[in-house]
Parts: sequence; structure tokens; C-alpha cells
Amino acid sequence: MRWKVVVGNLGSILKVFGLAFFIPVIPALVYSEPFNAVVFLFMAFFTISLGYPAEKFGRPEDFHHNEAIVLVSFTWIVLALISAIPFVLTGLFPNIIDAFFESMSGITTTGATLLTEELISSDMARHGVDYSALGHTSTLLWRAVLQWLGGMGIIVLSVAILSKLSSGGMRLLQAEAPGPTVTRLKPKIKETAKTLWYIYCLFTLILAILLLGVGLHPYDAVYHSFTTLPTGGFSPYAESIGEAAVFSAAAQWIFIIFMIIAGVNFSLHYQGFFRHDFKKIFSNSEFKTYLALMFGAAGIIALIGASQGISVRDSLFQAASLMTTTGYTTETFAEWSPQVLRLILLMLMFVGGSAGSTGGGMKVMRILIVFKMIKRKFKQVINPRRVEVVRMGDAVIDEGTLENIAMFFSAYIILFAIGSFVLVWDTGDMMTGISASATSLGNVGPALGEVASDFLEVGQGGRLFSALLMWIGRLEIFTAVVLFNPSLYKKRRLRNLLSFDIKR
Amino acid sequence: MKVIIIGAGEVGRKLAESIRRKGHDVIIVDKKESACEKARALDVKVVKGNGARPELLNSLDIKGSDYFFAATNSNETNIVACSIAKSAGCQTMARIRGLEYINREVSQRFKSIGVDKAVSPELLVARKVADVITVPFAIDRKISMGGKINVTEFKVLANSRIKDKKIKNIGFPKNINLGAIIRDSEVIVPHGDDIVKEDDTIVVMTEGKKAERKILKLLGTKKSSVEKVMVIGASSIGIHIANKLCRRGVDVKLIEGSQSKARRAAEELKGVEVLVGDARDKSVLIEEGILRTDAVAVTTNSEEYNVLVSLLAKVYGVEKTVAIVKELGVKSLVETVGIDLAASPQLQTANTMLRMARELNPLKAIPIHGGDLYLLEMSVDESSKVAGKTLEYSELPPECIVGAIIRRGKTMIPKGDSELKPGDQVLTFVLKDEISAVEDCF
Repeated sequence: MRWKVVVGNLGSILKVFGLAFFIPVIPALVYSEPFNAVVFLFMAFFTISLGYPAEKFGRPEDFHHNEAIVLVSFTWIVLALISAIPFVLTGLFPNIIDAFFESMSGITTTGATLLTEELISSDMARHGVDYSALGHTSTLLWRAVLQWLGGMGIIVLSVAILSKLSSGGMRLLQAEAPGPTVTRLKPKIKETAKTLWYIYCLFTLILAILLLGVGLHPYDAVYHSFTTLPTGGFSPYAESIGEAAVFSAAAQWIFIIFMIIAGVNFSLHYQGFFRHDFKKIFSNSEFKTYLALMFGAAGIIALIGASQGISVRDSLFQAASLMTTTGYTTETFAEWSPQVLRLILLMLMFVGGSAGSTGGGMKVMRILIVFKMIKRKFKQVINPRRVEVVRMGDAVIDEGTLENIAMFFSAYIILFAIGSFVLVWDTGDMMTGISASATSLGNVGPALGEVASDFLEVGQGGRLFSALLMWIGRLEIFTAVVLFNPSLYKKRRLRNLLSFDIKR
Repeated sequence: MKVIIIGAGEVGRKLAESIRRKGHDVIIVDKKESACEKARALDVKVVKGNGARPELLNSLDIKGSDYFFAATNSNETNIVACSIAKSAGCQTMARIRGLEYINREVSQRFKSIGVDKAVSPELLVARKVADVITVPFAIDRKISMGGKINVTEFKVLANSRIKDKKIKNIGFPKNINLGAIIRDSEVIVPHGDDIVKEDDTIVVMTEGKKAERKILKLLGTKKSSVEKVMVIGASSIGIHIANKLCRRGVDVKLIEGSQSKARRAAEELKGVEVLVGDARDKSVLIEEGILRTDAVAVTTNSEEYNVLVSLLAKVYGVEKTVAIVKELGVKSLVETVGIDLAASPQLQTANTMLRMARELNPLKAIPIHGGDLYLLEMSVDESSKVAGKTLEYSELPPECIVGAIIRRGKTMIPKGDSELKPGDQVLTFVLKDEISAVEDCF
């Protein structure tokens, strides 16, 4: 394990990431927030200038497998910390833990928030009050930018931009990307990363134009396209955006469609965009299961909930939002009864989006494979001589991947249990704690009980712990937890000697 | 004509023997002394050496040869040799083993690199076994006239409706013709007064699916296909048979002894139940439902194992058993001990290659039941002795049965008063000794 390689590559990533701080400068200038403009400009130069010495000090060269994983894991922590600084500096979050919670919630596309009063109220919007009155449109937009970068992945972006990272890039992508395997869209890994970001940007742009088309304020349109495609769920509004008071029915249908799009494997979008191979998309078994689960759940909710005024749009909006782990909410979903409706939503949170999408959770593919493995086990219990392979479509899934998936599933449940324990203790309420644990680990955002719209009811310790769960959930457990492996920090004399020798 | 064969294994020797018997010159090349030694028993020129070497082939006057068969064990040698032979102007045919390169029984995929016909032993034998298995009672089947006409050997069992009846009383429907009865490995040319007995094998010519259903009804079953089949041994032949059967809607179980081979089979086969176990073990066979199985094909790479397990399956009352054998000599022996079909990839390959080499076969004769009986395909022209005569009054020997007449693309099953016209093609069942007599009539 050569820490210098990790630090060196981290330096390169910081230089890319620093550019993101320029985006909030635009609303800061438009809505005359001079102090915030200065803060974000400072952050941009600070981050980029932090990157140079790191690169100089370390060795931004090709890495081994363990270094790649540590780099990804470490990068996400460092970026969350740096991103929290503007929240503190602009005064939106005086408390550093709250600021870290918010930035981690942003970059992992969770969307759980500690804000309520500082946000735009629908009254304000309706009465045409100028957003300048808010005083922190730029800081709010920073939350959206964080989600947008975190959704497709900052490492993927770095691989797309930096030629240095591209040689070991497959390892990085594997460590960062959601889902059991990464599909190479192009022979070159750099081209793959570029293509993914290209599709992502294209969808973001289309959504922004559509939202403008149905009459949204430009700030709102940009904001929500930045938070929908990464299945993030931050909104500048204090109220739930699924509420008719905030957005029109047309806008909500657009949100439903784009949430569903964001939860689909982006390599399928690639098939559609570049190959026009729609047959391949509709024959994909993960895609079919994804839609079946979502529409099935929405259908049940609409049927049972019809008596108390849950419309088809509401149920589909909420099912899509929680299954893709976006986390936009309708007004009353946390009070839906009978309770089984809320339980359906909680279960959807565990399923999550498709592998290779921007969604969180366990991923449809893994759930599907776990069910297939269980079915296989049943057959083998009845007849031990039975030899069977697990397939997705026609492709055979090798035993190594199957084991990884089974282990992921188990580890996810164990982490959920630990998280529930800590958060039930912290909040003192069963439903609140359990759902907060599920929502953090799955990068969803809203939960049930007291944490349906914000995490204010959770204590400081609980907030920090939730942020940890978000980080673990985003990096799909195994990439994240390597940092807890003590052998990484042990000095190994032989290794050090060797790395000294290799040094130029 | 001059023919060069490289590879003096089972296929090469079988080719050499058949071609020599038809009166052509044959040179056979092999690099192994033991193989050469075996080939010297035939009346052919034997050369020891690597058949893919251009110098060697030139020294054999390859430019003056007409046909080139490559039947060594190595695909690469076969392809290289064919490509040299092709450039010298020969018609080339190669055996291509394994399923990676080839996806049809006979493929023209390699034409551009000099192999006119590439023949896959695995696919040929898999096709044949699958055909034989899917038709109940069938123990062997040949296809003639481009697939229009099936010649099938059926077994007559105790519950058959035609058992113990005189042939004239059975009332065979229109598009079915009885070619021969085989009783205790003796061929009987059927006449109206002959009686069909239990355990006989009847050779029947049918045209189309409808006729096949009718004959199956006569033989005592209503279902037109078998339901449960066990394939034992996940060799590439076994996998292919399982795949073919599965695609024809048969319920297939594949049993394999080695875990890794079973795994590979499971990866390749969708919809087939793959199991690990030794099929010599009684309990394995019983637990996997051998008692309810309609047919068993044993397809491991070991001949002895295949024969043993097939016999075991017979003991458990499986109606139809098929074993894959390599040695051509073993085939007839195995079939006499009660195994219904001993399928040999080597024999299939040699026969297919021979059939495709048209100029070597002025006579289109397909051997039935190990060569005692032949299916002869003749054409009638103006100068034929039989032209313009009815079958009753033609000079055809009495022991020859005209199975079908094909006139302008239409098939008819003839009666005694049917007339033969110039331009007709005639399919006849002929005993081995009478081939030349029949030939003279055309």
C-alpha cells in the first residue's frame, strides 16, 4: 500500500473537483450575494491549489488494486469534508457536523436535509418574490451541484478528464460505480467514462428545458434537473415538491419520467442513444423487473389508497421517488394508511435502482440474482446432484460474482441492523430510527416517522452516524470499509524498502 | 479417379475402403506408423508422413488428383492440407471437430480458405441420435431426396397393432411403404403373406409428418414424440444432443460424472436439468427416474462406459437406448446385444463425406441396417430397360421393392400397375447382392 500514490492521485481529482465551485458563483452574482460569491471563488482556488502540492508530494502514477479502492474510499470522505466548508463559511450551517451531514447527504445523492426555514416557501414563489430576498441561493445551489457530481460519480468524471487515471481507471470505476459489474461501453475506459457523463449531461439538459417549458422558474428548473438525474432529491423548497401547491401536474409527470430514467442502467441508455437498439433494452431482465416492481407497487398503493384520496399520480410519484432513491416526496406520504402502504415504500427503498444507474439501494439486479440463488438452493436441497448456473437473460453469472452478491446482501442487512440500533437509540422512536437507517444506507433521503422530511429530530451523534452510513451505502459497502482495515496502517518495513527502491 | 486421404484413423480407413471398392485409386497418408500399419490391410497406397506438408503432397502428384479428404485428428492440419490441395485443383473435404468453428453438420464456411465442405462429426451424430430418439420405436433413420422422404427402422413391440398380422391385412396407408423386415439380423423382403412378429424391425419409407403419425398409430402409440430422455455424459456430443432434444420440447436430464464438466454443460444448456453423478450407480439412475424415462443416450468419451450404461438402462426397461461408439467394428456387435443404436461419429463422418463426393458415387446407395440392405436412388431415362413398363412386368428382380417414385417433384408410393416413365427417379430397397442386377435394369 503506497500512500503517496493515493495522495498524488487524490491531488489530481481535487483539481477537477475545484472547478465545481465556480457554478454557485453564477447565482451569487445574479441574486447579488457578494459575500457568497467570494466564498465560492475562494473555495475554487483553495481546492485547486490544494491539488497541486498533493500531486507534487505524492506520486500520481498507476496504482495497484488495493490502492485504487483506498483512493476511491478516501476521495469521497475528503470531498465531503471540503464541500462542507462553504456551508460553514456562508453561515448556512454554523455547526461543522451539520455541514458535514448536509454535504455528505448531497454528494452521496441521499438528499436528507437539516434545512427547513432557510428554504424557499411555495408562497414566496407564488407571489413572485424575488429569490434575492433569500440571501443564499448560491449555497442552496451548491447542494444541487454536489448531488449532480456525486450521482454519476466524481471518480468517473476524473477518469473521463484526466489521462493519468485512465490506465488503472477500470479499477476505480469498479470501486465507485453502483452495481456488481461495470459494463465497458467503449474499449477505452476513458471513452467509457466520457460516454457516461455525456449521456448524463444530455438528460440533465433535456430535463431542464422541459421544466422551463412547463413554466418553472429558471433557478428551479436548473436546481431540479441537477437533483433528479443523480436521484438526489434536494430541493430549494421547504414543502414537498410532490405537492400541487409547488409544482403543476405536468411538472410532476416530467419528474416521474426522469426519476424512472435515472434509475435505469446507463449502459441501456447508451444502447438506445448510440445503437438505437431498443429491443435490447426491453429484453433486459433487470429493466423489466425494475419496471414491474415499480408499477406493481404503485398499482397496489393506488388501489388500496384510492379511498383516502391517494391519486394514481401520487402513488407513482412516490413509488418512483423512493425506489430510485431520489427522495422527492408528496405532502402526506408519511401518514398514508393503512401502514402497509408505508411498508411497501420502505421495501422499495431496499431494492433501489438498477445496477449502473445513479440510484442507490441494493439494486434490482442484486435482488433478482439473490432470488435466483435462493431458487437454485431450493432445487439443490431437493436434489443434491443438481448442477445449475444462475443466468441474467442469457448470460451466465460466474460463481465469484454470485458470492459477492450474496455477501453484499448479507452485509447490507447487517449494516441496516446496526444502523437501526444506533438510530432508534438516538431518536427514541422505532419507526423513525429504522427508516432513518434504511434511508441513509440506501441514499434515499426521506424516511418515515419523525424523519419524513428532515433529519432535525436526529441528534448530533446520530447525524454523524447517518453520514457514515450514506458514505458506506454510496460506495456499496466493500469499497468504503477498506479504510477500517487496520493492515492498511501498519508499517511494513519490507514494503517501504521496496517502494523506496522503486522511487525514481 | 484419384483420391488422396490424410489421416488413417477410423474415418480415413473407412473412406479408403469404400472408395477403393468403387474402383478408384486411393492414397492414404498418416504420420503414425501404427495407423499406417492398419491401413496396409486395405488395397491402397499408404504413405507415412505429415499430410499438411506441401512437398509431400506434391510428391503424391496432388495436381493429378480429383478428391482430397482430410480426416486427421487436428483441425488445423486438416484445414492447411485442404487449402494446399485446393490450390492444386482438388475437391476438398475436411473433418472439423469441436463446436467452436462450425455450427452446421456440413458447413461451407471455410470455402474461402480452401475447404469445400467442412464436416462436423459431433453435429452429425447428435442430429442422428436426436432424430432417432424423438420418434418412438425408431432405432435408425435415414433421409433421402433432400429430406422429403424418411426411411426409418421401427421396432415392433408387444403392444403393436400390426403384430402377428399378415402384411396384406395390415392395410398400410397411402404414403407409407414397407421396405423390409429384419428378424434376428436377417433381412426379409416382405410379401403379402409374410407375418410381422414381435421384436422384428421394420424398415419403412414415409413421406411427410402425417404418414409418420399414421405409422406410429399402427405401431401402438398415440403420442408422436418421446417425453422424458436421459443423456449421460456431457461430452460435446452429449451437450449437443441434449440441446437438440430440449429444443424439440423433450424433457431432458443430463447426468455427468465430473463437477466441472457438469458446470460447463449447465452454462451451455438452458432448460436442461444437469446433474452430477455416476450413472453406473444403480441408486443414481433410480433416483433420477430411469423407470419413467423413454430413452437414454450414453455419450461419454469412453466406449465401454457407454455400452455398459446403455445395457443397464435396458435392464431398467428403457424402451430405447443409444450408445456412442468409436470403433466401427464394435457397432454391429453392440447392436446385437440389445442396444438399439450404436452411433459412431466416425462412421457418420465417413458416410457423409462419401455421399457428398458425388462423382465417386455413380450409384447413390444408402446402406440400411449395417449394409445388408441398400436404399438405391436410380433415375429412369429413354434407354432404361424399365422405361415405359409397369412394375409387375418389368425386369426388376423379385427381391427388389420399389419404395417411391418421384415424378416432377411429386412423390408417389407405387403399386404393381404403376408405370415407370423416363425422367422418373426411383427409390428402391435392394439386397446387397442384387445391386448390380438392379443397376442393369436402369
